[in-house]
Amino acid sequence: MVTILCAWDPDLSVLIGCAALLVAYWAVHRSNLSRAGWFVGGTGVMLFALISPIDTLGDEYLFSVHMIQHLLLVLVVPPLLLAGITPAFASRVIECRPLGEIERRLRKPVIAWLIGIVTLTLWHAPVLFDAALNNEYIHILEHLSFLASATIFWWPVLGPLPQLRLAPLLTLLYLVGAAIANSLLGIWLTFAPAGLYTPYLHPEDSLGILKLLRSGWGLTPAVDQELGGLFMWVGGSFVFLAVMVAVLLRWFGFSEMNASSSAASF
Amino acid sequence: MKDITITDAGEMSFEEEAREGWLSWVASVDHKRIGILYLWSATIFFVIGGILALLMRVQLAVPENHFLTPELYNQLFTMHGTTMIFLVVMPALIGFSNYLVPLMIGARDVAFPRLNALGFWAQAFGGMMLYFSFATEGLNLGGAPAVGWFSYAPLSEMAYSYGSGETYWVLALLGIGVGTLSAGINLMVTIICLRAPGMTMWRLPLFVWMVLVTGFLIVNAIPPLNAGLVMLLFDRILNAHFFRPATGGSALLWQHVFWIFGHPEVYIMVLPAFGIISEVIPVFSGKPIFGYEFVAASGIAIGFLSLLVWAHHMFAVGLGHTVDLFFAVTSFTIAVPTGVKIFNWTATMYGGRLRFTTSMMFAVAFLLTFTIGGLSGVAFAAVPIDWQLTDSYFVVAHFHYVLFGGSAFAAFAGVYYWFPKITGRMLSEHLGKWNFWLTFIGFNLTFMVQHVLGMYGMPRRVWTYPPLPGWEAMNMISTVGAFVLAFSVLIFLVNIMLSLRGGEISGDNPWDAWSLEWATTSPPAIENFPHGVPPVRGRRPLWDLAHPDRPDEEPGSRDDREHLKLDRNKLGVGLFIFSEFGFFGALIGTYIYFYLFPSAGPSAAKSLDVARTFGFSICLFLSSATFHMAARSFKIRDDRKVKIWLGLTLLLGAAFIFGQIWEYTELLTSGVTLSSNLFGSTFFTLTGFHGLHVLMGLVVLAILLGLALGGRLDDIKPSGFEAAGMYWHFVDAVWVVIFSIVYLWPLFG
Repeated sequence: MVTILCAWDPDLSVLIGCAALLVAYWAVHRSNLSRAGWFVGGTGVMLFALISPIDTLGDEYLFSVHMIQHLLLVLVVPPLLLAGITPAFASRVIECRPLGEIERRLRKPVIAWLIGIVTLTLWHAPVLFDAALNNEYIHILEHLSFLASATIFWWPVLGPLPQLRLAPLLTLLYLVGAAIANSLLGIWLTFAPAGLYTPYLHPEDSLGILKLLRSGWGLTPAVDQELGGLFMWVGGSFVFLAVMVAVLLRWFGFSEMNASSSAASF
Repeated sequence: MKDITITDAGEMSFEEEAREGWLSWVASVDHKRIGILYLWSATIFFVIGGILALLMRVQLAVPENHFLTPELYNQLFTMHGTTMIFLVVMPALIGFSNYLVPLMIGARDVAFPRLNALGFWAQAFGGMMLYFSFATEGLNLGGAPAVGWFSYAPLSEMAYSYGSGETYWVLALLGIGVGTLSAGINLMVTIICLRAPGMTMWRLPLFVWMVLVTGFLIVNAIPPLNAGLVMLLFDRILNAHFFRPATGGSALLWQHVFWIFGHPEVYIMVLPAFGIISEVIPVFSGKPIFGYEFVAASGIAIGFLSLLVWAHHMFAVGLGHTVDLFFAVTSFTIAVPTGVKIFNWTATMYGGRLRFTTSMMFAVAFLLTFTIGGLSGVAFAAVPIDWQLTDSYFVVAHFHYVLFGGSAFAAFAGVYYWFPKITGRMLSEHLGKWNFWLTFIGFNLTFMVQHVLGMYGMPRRVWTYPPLPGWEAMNMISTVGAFVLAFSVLIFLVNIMLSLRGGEISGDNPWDAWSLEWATTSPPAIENFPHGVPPVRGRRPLWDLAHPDRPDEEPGSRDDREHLKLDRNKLGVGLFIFSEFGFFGALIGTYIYFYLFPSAGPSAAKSLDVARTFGFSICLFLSSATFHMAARSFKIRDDRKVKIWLGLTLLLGAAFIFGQIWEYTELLTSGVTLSSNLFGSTFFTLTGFHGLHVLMGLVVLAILLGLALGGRLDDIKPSGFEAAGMYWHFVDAVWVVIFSIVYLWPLFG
């Protein structure tokens, strides 16, 4: 147990990446740090997901823990980072010509939705997933593409500029659609025959904890894969539900103000 | 009657609709008449289903009884369950929705009136077909279906249910499913697109909110059921193998498909009931609803969560502890938003000026009995309790508290509340009180003891039982209760008949209610609001009219109809496409499942000619491009080009169908059929249904082309053209997925 808790893996690329994010944030938001907490929180969660024992366990031993890492990167980190960006900075960025043009195209709900969902789905194809486990660079690429695609996915829902967000009813549909797609993938992982991802069948066991995991905690490959699928299916669905409730609250909150004082929120 | 012209979709010529005579009902596309038809058909089937229940209770009144044969008993409980769910509760609630939603949002009719009529008749014919199965007894075909309302495979397969009853069951449910789906889509589009000025989403009556969520659940839940029914039908009549473990099929697959439908179905039957309660309680408490936003939002949360919990019907199947655990958690979670609602209603009554009309009494009784049903449901979410009590009379008690104590009590409350609006006459409150107390007492007598019976170990669906201690007395109490309940329904029917003959005239707004339906006459004029819709500035427009000095606050002052600029044709087709995801999702999922667990015999790798099919697929993909060009030409009104591109699209689509026919012919002549093995079953079902969709698309294209050739392009609304395009592109996109999975996947391993 102690071995597991101590199995941190402070990867240099992760540390540099997170530091660079924070420095960049400080550079552009110096004048207004009111939302910095969200951004720092998001970076913190990212750091935690990528260097804590979650990473060690997920890389070598347990698919289910790897799934937790992916869910953090896709469903938790991008929303927090987006919440940290001030509207003022966001509008400065999209006024800048090529960036604004890119934003305008990616913001389209069908495009953003497809980018998010397709990326998530593709990386869970056994071929690609195993490749990422076996090759560190592919693994980094996987995590970066999760972060990027999920940021694009969440932008029309949680982006800092209200006028660029989707109408509330469409947002609900967007989120339900995503939850269903995410659930289908989770259902598939839950009920598929065990051993979809071969590296987890026979871990190298560099920490000497395999016996504890397998017979102590009962995490056989079958249970592990089932658990991973259920985390994605049920855990993911609850995140989407939470965001849906937040969207409803926001919708109601804006309605109560009178028309002149609120920016076009719908 | 022949030509009820629709000038602008949804606007009928009212002179035509105003005709009298019974044929005018058959031909009607007026939402009010269709609503009444739904309500009457529900009432008739309620009486029939009730009689079936009484026969069963007579059989169970004493131990070792021989009043019914076991075979007939099996038919009765199957028909009772199927009737009450598909032919009573759903039509009753859809009937209320149909009648009330356009009135409540200040619309003239539903978005697609003719689809509305189609939906009702599809479901009515489904019901008649189901009951026709009784007649097959005379032909020695075994009579009505007898395997329970969820038709578990392989018991429902030909080998074990060789009679035609089960086939009738499948066909009937397909008809009802089509009807329900079209009603769900229609109601959603109506609510989103046809609201009167000022009727923002946050001002909608809560009944309308709940119908919106119900519509969404229908769109999600019915298509997987349809897919499952089709597979079961093919197993039965074409000797396919989907749910036959003996030849590699999976009985568990049926359970998954059925409960993916079956659990949201519970909320399809309960959410509109929540809506009725949310209308009745505030009016008779003299207070606006407490926490409007919470009632609406918790409805959305319930709708979403209900899609996540189906496997709690399968705890005893052996899915494994991990899966059971997660489903137990999600099932517990549903109790939260449901509890929120109960507290909202209670808080609405708190400190109000309560008027205990019959309608209000049913609503208050609903709070009690539905809470009991909800609590026993929470108990069931705990896996060990479920293992102990599943398939016992405790289950029977539980879901009758939800569906009778919940949905049916709400429907009674709704009838007593809206009957004056629908007919212009009051129901007798005197008979109503008798009706209520006998229903309440009879219901609790019948079902309360069944909790205990279940805990004593009496299994459900048994034809008779030995004289065990306690069982005799409790079964007798239950039977007596059932007859009290039946008597109360008789009073209800008498009350309706007497009132229709000569009830007290009600006036427009007998209850001093506040929502828009009470602003028009009783019964409403054929065009609903002949003198215009009153202004809507809050959630209680009639209160604001009556009390201009102290109107409600104005929630949602922004007119969000402008922000939901959705065209009704496009939204309707969009929702239909969304529903198709469920249908094709189930078929594709089934294909993949059996691809991974292949059985002996033909397979995709051995039997399919990928190169040739790829050629025909290119035709289909190209047709999307040509349609795009046609749509462009249509926009700039280049009639000649529209004809050319549409013609090309049609030809390319036809080429694809030709390719499919060619492929099928070769496969069939080389002995690969639906019955050869699971590859055959899944392949032909999946690609065949896709082909059917292409054919449907070709019909639409042919109509467009016909109009173009006749020089009547101006008759096509731009959104109609675009909607046809959405459907055609969708059919192509589905083929991309099917082609990759069925044809390309085997190439890579």
